[in-house]
Amino acid sequence: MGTLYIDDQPVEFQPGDNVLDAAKRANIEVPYFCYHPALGAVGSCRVCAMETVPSREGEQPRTVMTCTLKAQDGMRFKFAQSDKAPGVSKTMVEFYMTRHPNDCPVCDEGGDCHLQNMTVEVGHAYRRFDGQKKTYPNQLLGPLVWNTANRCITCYRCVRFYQDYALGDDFGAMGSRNNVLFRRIDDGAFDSPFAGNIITVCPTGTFTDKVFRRKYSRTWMLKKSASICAHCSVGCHVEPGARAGTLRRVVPNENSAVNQYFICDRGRYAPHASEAADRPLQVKVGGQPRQEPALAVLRQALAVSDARWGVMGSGREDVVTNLVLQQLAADLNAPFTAFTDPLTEVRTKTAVNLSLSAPSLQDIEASDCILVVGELTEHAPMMELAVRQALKQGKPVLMLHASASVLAGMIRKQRSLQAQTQAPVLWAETLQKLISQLTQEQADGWAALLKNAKAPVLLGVAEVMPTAVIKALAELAAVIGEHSRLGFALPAANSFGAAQVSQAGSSEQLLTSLESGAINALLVVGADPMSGWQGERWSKALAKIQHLVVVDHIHSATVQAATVVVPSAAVSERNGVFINYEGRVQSFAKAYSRETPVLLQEELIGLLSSDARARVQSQLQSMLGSAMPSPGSAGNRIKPATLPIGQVAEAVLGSGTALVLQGWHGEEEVAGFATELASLTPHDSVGIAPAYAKALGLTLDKNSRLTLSVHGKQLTLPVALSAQIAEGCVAVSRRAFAELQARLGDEVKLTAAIRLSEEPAEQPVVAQFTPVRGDHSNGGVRP
Amino acid sequence: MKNLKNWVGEITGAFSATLKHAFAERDTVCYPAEKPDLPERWRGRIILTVTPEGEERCVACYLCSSVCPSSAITIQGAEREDDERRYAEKFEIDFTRCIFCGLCEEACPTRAIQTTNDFEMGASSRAELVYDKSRLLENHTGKYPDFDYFKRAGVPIRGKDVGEGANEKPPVDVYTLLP
Repeated sequence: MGTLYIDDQPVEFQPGDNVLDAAKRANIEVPYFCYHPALGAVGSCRVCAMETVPSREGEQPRTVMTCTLKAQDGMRFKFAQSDKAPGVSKTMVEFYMTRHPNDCPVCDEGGDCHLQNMTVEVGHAYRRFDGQKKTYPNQLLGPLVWNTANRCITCYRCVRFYQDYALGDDFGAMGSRNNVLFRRIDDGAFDSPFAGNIITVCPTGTFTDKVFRRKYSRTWMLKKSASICAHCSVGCHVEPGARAGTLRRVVPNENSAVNQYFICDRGRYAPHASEAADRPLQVKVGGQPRQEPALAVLRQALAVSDARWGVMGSGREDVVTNLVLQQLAADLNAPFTAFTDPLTEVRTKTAVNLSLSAPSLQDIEASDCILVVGELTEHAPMMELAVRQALKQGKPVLMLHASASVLAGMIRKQRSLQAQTQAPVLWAETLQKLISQLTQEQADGWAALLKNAKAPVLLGVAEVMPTAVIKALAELAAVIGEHSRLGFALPAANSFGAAQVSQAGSSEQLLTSLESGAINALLVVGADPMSGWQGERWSKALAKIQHLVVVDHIHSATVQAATVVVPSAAVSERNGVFINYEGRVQSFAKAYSRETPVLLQEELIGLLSSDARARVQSQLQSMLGSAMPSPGSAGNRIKPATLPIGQVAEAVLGSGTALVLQGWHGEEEVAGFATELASLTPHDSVGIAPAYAKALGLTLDKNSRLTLSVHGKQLTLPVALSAQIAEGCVAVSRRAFAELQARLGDEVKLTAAIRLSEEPAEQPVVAQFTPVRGDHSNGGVRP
Repeated sequence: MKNLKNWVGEITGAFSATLKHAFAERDTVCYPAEKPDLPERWRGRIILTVTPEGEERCVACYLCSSVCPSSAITIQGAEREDDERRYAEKFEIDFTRCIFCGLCEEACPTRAIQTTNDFEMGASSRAELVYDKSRLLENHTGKYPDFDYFKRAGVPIRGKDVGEGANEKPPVDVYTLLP
């Protein structure tokens, strides 16, 4: 805390501020391009220059870059420009504009452009230089990001984010001297799950949102709101923008408690599922469209005389909706669950019970030793970006994983021993070994790193961790001590809240009552049981019943099988409350209404009796405690009582080969309906470690195919050899799991199938896992 | 006596003025048989113009609809299939709202939207006064016979790659390391 002076005006600053920060805080409009609060200062744009005021006799005034100068008490600067002597800033902006194209009318950044703002701010209006403009070739960067290289002002923000902040390596500064430009080595989509952020950090229109480009609107015309991302359990703050009743773009909403400045590509592009061509927008009963209001149709459907109901909520629906459904179930005397898979339910609840001291993303970034169990990138990308910040600072990041993961590859590149591949059934054993080492005071290796850390963080991926591993990780946290933080990436945005409203063993109960015929009607809100882990069981059970009422906003398998379909609102079209993986209660606000009205989930309360409404209110009160947080605020964390957990059979260690999940970062129930993002889905393959294949006596190369047999079902897939896959395991995608009707950890029989091509086999490929890009259409792009 | 003088003066004065105007040149014209002669900068019916090559000038930048004080203009942009050239997929002017202030013309960076000196826009329903693109677009360059915005913009379009625009150097070779 201190005071410095800009043009004799006193400016207060906070510890750690640079002069630019202080000036910005005092509302002095200093232009800047290369500085970014999350990326720091490099002083490359030379625009935030000010002149020092000599304090001693004989001292000359100097021009300094305020972003690179730490604020100190009593500093004096001259910033104001005069017409006679334009300041450095104005001259610099004029330089930048000598080769900037006249693109503003066709540039997507126009009206929301840092360069435009700064140019207007310094008062530069006419290009005095009448020479020719330098031009740069554009690059095709896949279906998500659009590049127009001429507009670049070489502030380096994009590479500083992509390489320095997000540790990506397939994009960088190319060329030399004054021919520098920023691009990938080859055309095509970015590898990084965070590539969309270069759109946000770019102060010009060099990188723009290609999905937004296809349905462009000026940003000032968009209807915006403070919303929460619904595509993983981190709960990042986002700002959807909509016009004419359709979603146009999603950008991060800056906040300090959760995701600060960035979001992952799943968060940025998955919400476009609300614009999918097959989205249900019409109330349909028995396939016939109905004109009545959605709620009236639901009421009619629920009043059928011969129906014995079951009710299903979902982890991707908000807290209030799940509570309302729970009370509706009580009114109907029906079983209720918010989970589609008993195994996931048990794992989620076990993880939620142990998440009371879960680290925030900032805690993870500041940690000095992190242990990750499971493939974090593929389940909670932003949590993994926080891990990368610790990794970047050279802090040890230990990882146990079973299938290829981006994070594991990154750790291996730096410190090969800190990522270990192992079948999930063995993780508990490894963690127990660590625990015994820590208790026996003879710690070395991983145990020593965890023991000596001041702020160790343990992270798990609940969906892929057997319950014993979740418990072992908690035990490890307890052994390390009070200063350790334990958190879990949960399967869905509101899994924490869903766990609070479901009874122990609720999904198994609902499933068995359906199978036994105890109930013959099911109301499903925002869930897709037919394509989850128990898809086959659900499909069989649901095929028998007469009434399947589905309320959803995606054209899921369950919607296709439903007798009554009621279209509901996507997250940006409604208000609600999510609880993230830390137990942080965050509410989100509606950004827009669709032209064809859809059922807002808040309206479901209209189905309840007045008693039940009162019960919802009191439960909400007891669950969320104090007042509901306002949208856009950081929310408050709750510490609920321990949940009762049912029993469920886990996979056990067998001598055969186990199936593990090969995820990718853009994958989620709703995200699969966002056309552009889904076009990047890697091709299906079966991942296997070359050493393990050899041990099994299989001779494999990149043209080989393997036939997987599980419980009599067979599937043949091309082989992806990767040393990142655990011994005793083969890794396949969710889609393959569904086709095989298999569950995590199921034993699989492998047989070699006909080769893909008859060409002579080359050397076996032993490489890092590189997802094969889907053949996304260029959308009419010039070749 | 003085009153009488005033009275006579008023009578003769009024009649002489009437007489004078009875034989003076007419300001009104026999519309519609005879068309009025309007100044060139008259702000009448709004049109969308084309470039000298016959391409639509509008790039769907939304500036006209943003500046319109009576919110009469509705636009949705799109990109042309083969070359990403942006155009207005939907362009509507609601002439029941339009106040013919000409701000749209002033804001247009590509000189696409122009006012004309046509004012004969009578219609028998309000719906007919909502002009869509097919009624707005004229195959004419309007007041600017030579102007083509895309020649001056940096984005590539069909027939003009990066570096082929007016006042542009050919693109740099990004692979060269020569000084």
